[in-house]
Amino acid sequence: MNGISNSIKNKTVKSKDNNGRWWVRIHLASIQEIPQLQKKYKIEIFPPSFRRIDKKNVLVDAYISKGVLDDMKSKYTVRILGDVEKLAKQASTYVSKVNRYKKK
Amino acid sequence: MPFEPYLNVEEIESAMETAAINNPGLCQLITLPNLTYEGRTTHAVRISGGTLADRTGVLLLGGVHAREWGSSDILIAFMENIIEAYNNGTGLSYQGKTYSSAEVQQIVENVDIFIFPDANPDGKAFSQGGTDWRKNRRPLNGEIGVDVNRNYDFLWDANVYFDPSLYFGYLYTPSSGTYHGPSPFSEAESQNIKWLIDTYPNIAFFVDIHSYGQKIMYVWGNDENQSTYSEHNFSNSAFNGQRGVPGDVYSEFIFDTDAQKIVNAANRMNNALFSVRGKSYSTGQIFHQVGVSAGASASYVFSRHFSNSSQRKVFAFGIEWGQAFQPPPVEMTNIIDDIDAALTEMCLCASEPNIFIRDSLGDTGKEPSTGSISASPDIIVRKLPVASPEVDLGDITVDPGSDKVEIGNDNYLYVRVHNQGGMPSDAAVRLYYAPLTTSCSPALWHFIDEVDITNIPAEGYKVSGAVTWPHVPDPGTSHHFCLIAVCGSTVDSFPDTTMIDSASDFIQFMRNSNNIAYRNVTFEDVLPDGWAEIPFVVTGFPGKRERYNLVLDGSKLPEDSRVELKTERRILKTKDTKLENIKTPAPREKTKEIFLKIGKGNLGTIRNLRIAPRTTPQLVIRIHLPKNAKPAKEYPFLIVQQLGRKTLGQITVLLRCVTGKKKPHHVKRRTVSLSKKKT
Ligand SMILES: [Zn+2]
Repeated sequence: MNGISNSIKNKTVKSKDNNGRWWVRIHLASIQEIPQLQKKYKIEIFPPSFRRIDKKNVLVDAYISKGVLDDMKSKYTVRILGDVEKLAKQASTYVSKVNRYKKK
Repeated sequence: MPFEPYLNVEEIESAMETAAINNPGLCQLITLPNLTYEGRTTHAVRISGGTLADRTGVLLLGGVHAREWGSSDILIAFMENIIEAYNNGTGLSYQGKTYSSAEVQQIVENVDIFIFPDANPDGKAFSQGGTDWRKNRRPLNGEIGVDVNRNYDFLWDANVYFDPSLYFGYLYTPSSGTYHGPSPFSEAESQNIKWLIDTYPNIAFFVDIHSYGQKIMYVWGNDENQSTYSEHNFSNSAFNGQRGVPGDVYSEFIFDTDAQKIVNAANRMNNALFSVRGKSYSTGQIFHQVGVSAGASASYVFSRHFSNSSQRKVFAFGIEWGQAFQPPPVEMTNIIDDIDAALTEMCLCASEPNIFIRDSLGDTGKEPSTGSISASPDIIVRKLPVASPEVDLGDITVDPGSDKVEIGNDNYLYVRVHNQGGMPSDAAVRLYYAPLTTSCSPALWHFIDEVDITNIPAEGYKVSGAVTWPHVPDPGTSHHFCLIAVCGSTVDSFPDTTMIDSASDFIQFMRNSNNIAYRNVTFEDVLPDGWAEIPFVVTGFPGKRERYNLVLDGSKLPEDSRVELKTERRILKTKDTKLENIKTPAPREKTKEIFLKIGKGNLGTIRNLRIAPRTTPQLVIRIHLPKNAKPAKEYPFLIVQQLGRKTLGQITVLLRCVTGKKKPHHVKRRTVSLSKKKT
């Protein structure tokens, strides 16, 4: 993989990123489908979220570009868990805004 | 439950500083040497109470991934709770899971707990500002950040090491959240973690804390674990391009006893976690739980010992807490209890005693052992009971030697059991004998007796009472024996002999458990200008018909000594058997037995010796000492059985040159061959 093709590819994908990302849960028939997902879509899969429902069915969570949701939904069962950017903003309110150790 | 916000980056550092300032002598602040890209200095702490010198270290790591904030909160809470409980002499309570004050004390006074709670503060600070982020913040190739947990030197260049059907494009793409960086350990954050393990060589357990997925995992992360084919390992380039596919030929080697240990520890962590509030995480090998990984922490940390055996073996785990990266603080508070209970259990595992019997004087109990085997100074035979074993056999810096076993009489055995751990331990010791043999397979063992030893002190040892060996039978190798001692305790079990199905299994078994030792040292009195004859057996292990090497090493004998090996002709009757510096007699009549003569220097090797599975043919080594051999001197002669380059076992014969007047021990000629005996 060379650097030039990377940067071009990344630019095209990035323009989609401006619309933001979904946090989704994807239902797969097998773990072997993951590389196809990774090759095909702008997606960040979270392998530790793999859950085997039974021998054939797997759930996995990921962040996907909002632009790919429709295409992905036509091939997989996808459930939206949240809007990544909105969740990140909301979570920042959970963070301490002072140094509680310095007060002591 | 009060709403406690997540710790910010400054608070995490202040929490450690405060703990160190308030608890001098208990909590030490460690400054990591490499600054982050944004110029932050990171810290770790070492919690270490009491006075014990040689302690097992546990390294708990968090905050490697920026957005997984709660890992730092888990570790700071763990640090504060255990310090407070220890200082106040109380126990620890994590909802339904409690630890007694004695357990807290046991942990703090036996273990060095290293906590590195926020390895990637640049990433965390950025992420806590309201942007989703995983990597560090170093700009590279027009993009920002490297995934610190793909930057370790373990199969880092995945395209080289793994099966080409697997997809690793995301590791090589700088814009990706899992970009592995320009080279292994290119990042200050991963360098700092390596530095901690390099700098504190007592670290023996490692837990890397992440989110999310509710998993407790252990090595390996690159392929399925197996304990059969040691050549299937990460460093063997013959398997490049074949790794990472489940169910195929290649799978990653792990010693059986290591696998048992890590599975046991992971299950204990999960049981502790379950007791908190009924959550159960899935436990298992990283490869099974999250699929293939390259350049990640746990496999790197565990691999260090196998890349360089002078580095301590570190048992490595990963935890993925929760079901989201940043759960609301109320839920995070519960998760902190879950994981802190599991981490307390991990430290409890590390604090438990580790008993062992030495293979040689230099053996320190480290697993696997790499030094000399079959020469245990801790298994001692006496013709008569010893009045005060603790005194007479109490100097462990020397091998008190063994008396010659008297066949037909009662003999007395003593064992010295050591305790590497930080707390006293009881032990049971089982004693066995076998004929003198180059490789003491459990198939040859005969049980003598079991003895209990109570209260072996921390980092100390204890000598057992006498074990009577009644009416010692003839082992078939004259008065020459191999003695075996195996020890076990409630937390350090007897090694499993049932797993030995081949010669390579036996090598693993011997090297990988410090709970077993052999004394395969025998001696023979011989007059100057006299012959010594020592019968011994060689072992054909079950499984495939192996080719063994037999090294006969008399290089320390006086110069004019002569050495012969009496063997059955048919064992040498294979095409590829080669004799190095060994002469065969001129062909005469077809006798069953032949006498091989070892050439100059008295060092010879039989290569590709075929020994049928499950047979134990008997051979005899004959040694003639010259007239000028020095009386009262001991001359060693070694007989080593090898599988390839690896030693299966070794006999040490000590020839004691006696003065002319004394009659040497009479060697009874035995005609019974053990070769047909099924083991
Ligand atoms: Zn992580």
